[in-house]
Amino acid sequence: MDTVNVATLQQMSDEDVMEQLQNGVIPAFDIIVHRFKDRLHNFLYRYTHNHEDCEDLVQETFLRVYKSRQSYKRIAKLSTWIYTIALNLAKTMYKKKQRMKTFSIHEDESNPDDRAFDIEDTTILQDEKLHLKNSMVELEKALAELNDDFREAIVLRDIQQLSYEEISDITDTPMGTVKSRINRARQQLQETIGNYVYSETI
Amino acid sequence: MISNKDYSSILLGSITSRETQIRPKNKELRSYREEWDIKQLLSMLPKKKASANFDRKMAAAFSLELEREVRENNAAIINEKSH
Repeated sequence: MDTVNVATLQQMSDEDVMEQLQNGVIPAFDIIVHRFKDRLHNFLYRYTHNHEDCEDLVQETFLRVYKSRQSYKRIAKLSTWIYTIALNLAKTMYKKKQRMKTFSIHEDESNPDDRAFDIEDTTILQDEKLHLKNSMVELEKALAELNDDFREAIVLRDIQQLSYEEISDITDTPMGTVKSRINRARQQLQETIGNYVYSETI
Repeated sequence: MISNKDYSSILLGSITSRETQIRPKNKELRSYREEWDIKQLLSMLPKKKASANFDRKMAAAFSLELEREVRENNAAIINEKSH
């Protein structure tokens, strides 16, 4: 059944690749994983704050994509459909985690490569770099403290760079509500980390 | 002849419109700045990526899923034939 070669699959749109998978072309699954793994990781990390859990969730998302492949209809973008699956899994997992909330903003100890906030030059820690580092740490904290609806809206918009329409589809929420949640989330973030961003930029 | 009252209202009007042209309303300016700052900061958050091991783990999980699917299909075929 694998009549389409990988090079051809790589040239196809997401939706065409998915159609191949629906037709039984197994290598199409690898292409989908390759295209979405980092995007999903960046998105789901905002729920797990831990690389190991995040990877489990990304993996589970792809397995769900495969298992439910026949339920995908081309009326929606493939990315929207995949994000919807990921978001539903993340919500289920997040609810479980909320019960034993032990969130830390510090580096993820499960991953030695997670040195995202390292400053390159340790001898001269410039004010600007320190300010930026503090802002980022505060921002991650503030993001984690937003209510679930606000967080998912602003992460999808400002971090994942999705359109309002896509967010509306993924979250199954009217577009007006999505816009309002994003605005209110930005305001709340601003209020929470205002000291870091605002005081030194004026 | 223009009364003091009329003159002051004209003057006030002109000052107000000039101020509007020169200086955007503080509230608008502030909210614009805030939105820009937050959006910019969010876009600067370090991108989280899958680890080098992810592909290997994913391939293992997927092959298990394929095996499960084959087992299920075989069982369904056998079940169908036996009836």
